[in-house]
Amino acid sequence: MTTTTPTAAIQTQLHIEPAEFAEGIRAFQRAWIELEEGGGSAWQDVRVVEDSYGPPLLRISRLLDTLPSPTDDAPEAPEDEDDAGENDDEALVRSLPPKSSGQKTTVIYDIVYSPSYRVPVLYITLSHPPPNSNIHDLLVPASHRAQLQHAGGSLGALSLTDHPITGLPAYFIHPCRTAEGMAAITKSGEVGGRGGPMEYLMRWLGLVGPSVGLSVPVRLAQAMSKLQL
Amino acid sequence: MASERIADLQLKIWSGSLPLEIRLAASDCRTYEDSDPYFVQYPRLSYLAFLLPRLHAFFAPWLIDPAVPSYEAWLSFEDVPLKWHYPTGLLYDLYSGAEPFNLDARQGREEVVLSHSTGATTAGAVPVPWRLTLHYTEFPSGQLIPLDADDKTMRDTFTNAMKEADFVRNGTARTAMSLSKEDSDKLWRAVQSYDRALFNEVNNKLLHPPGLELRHVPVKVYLPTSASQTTSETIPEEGKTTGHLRVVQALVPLQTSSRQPQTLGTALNSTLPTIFPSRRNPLLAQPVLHGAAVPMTANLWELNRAAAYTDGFLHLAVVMLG
Repeated sequence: MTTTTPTAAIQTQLHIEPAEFAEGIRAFQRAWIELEEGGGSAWQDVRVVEDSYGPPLLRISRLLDTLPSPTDDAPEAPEDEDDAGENDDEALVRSLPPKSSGQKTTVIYDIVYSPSYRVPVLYITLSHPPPNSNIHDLLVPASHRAQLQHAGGSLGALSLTDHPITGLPAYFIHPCRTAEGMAAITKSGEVGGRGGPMEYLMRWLGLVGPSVGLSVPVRLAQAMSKLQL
Repeated sequence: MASERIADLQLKIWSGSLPLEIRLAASDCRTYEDSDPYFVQYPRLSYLAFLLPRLHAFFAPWLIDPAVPSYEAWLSFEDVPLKWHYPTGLLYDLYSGAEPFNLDARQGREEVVLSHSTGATTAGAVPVPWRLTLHYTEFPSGQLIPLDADDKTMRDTFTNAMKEADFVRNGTARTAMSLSKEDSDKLWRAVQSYDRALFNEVNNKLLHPPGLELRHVPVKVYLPTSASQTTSETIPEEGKTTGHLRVVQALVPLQTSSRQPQTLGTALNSTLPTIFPSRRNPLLAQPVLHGAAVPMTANLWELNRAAAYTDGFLHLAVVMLG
C-alpha cells in the first residue's frame, strides 16, 4: 500500500515497515495464546484486529481491579517542553459512559501503525471509567509513578485525539518523539543493525508502556523469547 | 506550475467561504424554537471553534443558562456532532450533501477547478446556507473532544497535525519543532485570525527547510461509511452514530515508482485501489477538495502547495458516484 524511498541503515532501527509491524503483533498474539491467555496476568486479552486500509492493530485489554489513590498529593512536576500533555486538573477521564456500581474499569490499549511516522502509536480508551478520575492516576497509581525512569521523560504525556480507526476520541502518546526514544535505547553493534519485528515491538513497549501502565507480563515476555523472532 | 500561479491559486482558496446559518437547539433555548438564526460567511480553511465566543454573545439573550462558558458548546449538522479539528470546508465537503463542482475533464486545468471552489455554489445556483445547530448541553463526550477556555486543545491538535505534515514532507519534524516561539505564536495567531500573509511568513519557512529534501506529500483521505469496509465488524463500539468516517493515510512519495510525478490519481489508485481502480478517471468515486471534484491528473505536490489546509495537509473527501 505504501511505496517508500529506501531508508538509510540507521533508520531501520528507529522505524518499522507495515509488513514487519504486522508480523510482530501476530507473533505477540501467538505467544499470548500459547501462554493459555495470560495465566493470571493483569492483561485480560490480547488480539490482532484486522483493518481493510492498513496493517492490523494489536488490542490489549487490562482490567483495573484497584481504584487509584485520591489525588490530594502534590501535582506532578510540569513537563519541560512545549507539547506536553494536559495538566492534572484538566486530564479528567473522558470516555464512554461512566461505570455503574459493580462494573470494573477496563483499559484498552491499541497499538496502531502510523503510516506517517512509521512507528507504532499507542491509543488508550477506557470502558466504564470511575467518574471524575484522572487518566494518569487510573493508569499508573501515584505511588508507583516516582519509580518510573525512562528515556525522554515526556514520552508518557497523553493528549486526546481521534482514534485513527474508530474515529472516536482516545488518549494517545504523540509519536514525534518515539524515533528519538528508540534511538536512545537501541543497542549499538547489533547484528545487521536491528533485531526482528518482535524485538522492535518489545523495545517500543519498554519505552512507551510503563508510564501508562502497560507492562508486558513476565511470563508473556518469556514466551516471546522462546518464539525467537 | 510557476510560483506566482500557485500563490494566485492559494489566494483564491483562502478567499473561499461558506454561508452558515446557525440556530440554537430548542432544548437550550428559553423560548424553545424562537431564537433568531445567526448568519455568517465563514472561511473554508478556518475552524468552527473560533466562532463560539461570537455565537455565545449573539445567543446570550435566549440561553436557558447564560453562565455556561462558550467553549462548552458544540455544533451539529443533522444530529451529527461536528469535530472541532476538521476545518469548516472539510466538514462541508463531507456532510453537507452539496454537489461538488464538476469540472469538464477535458479542460483539465487545476486553476479553473480551484477558482470555482470559492463559493458553496454549483455553477449559476444561489448559495444555500449550511444549517447547523448550536448546543449547550448533553456534550457528546464519546464522540467529540472537549474544548477549553484558551483554545489550548485546538492549538495542540493543530500543532500535532502541522508537525506530522512536516514529518511526512521531509522524514523529520525538526523544522516544525525548531520554530522559534515567536514563529510558533505567529503561525497560531494567523490560523486564529485567518491572516494569510502572516500565515505564509511562517509557513514558507516550513516549506523550504535548508538542507532537507522533499519526500512525501501530506494527504489524508476521508471515506464515508458506505465506502469503507467498516471496522464495526472487527471493533465493537459503544454509541456509534451515523456520520462515521474512516480517515485513510499512506505515505505518498513525490514520484511514482516509475519516476513520474505523482498525481492525485496515481496516489489514490495506489492507496485505495478498490475505490479508485483507474489512475485517470473517477469511475466509482471522486476526490473532493474545497467543494470541487479535482481532476485525477492534477500534480499532487502542486495541488498541496496551492490548496492545502493550514495544517499542511490535503484533506480529501471521497464522494461515491452513482
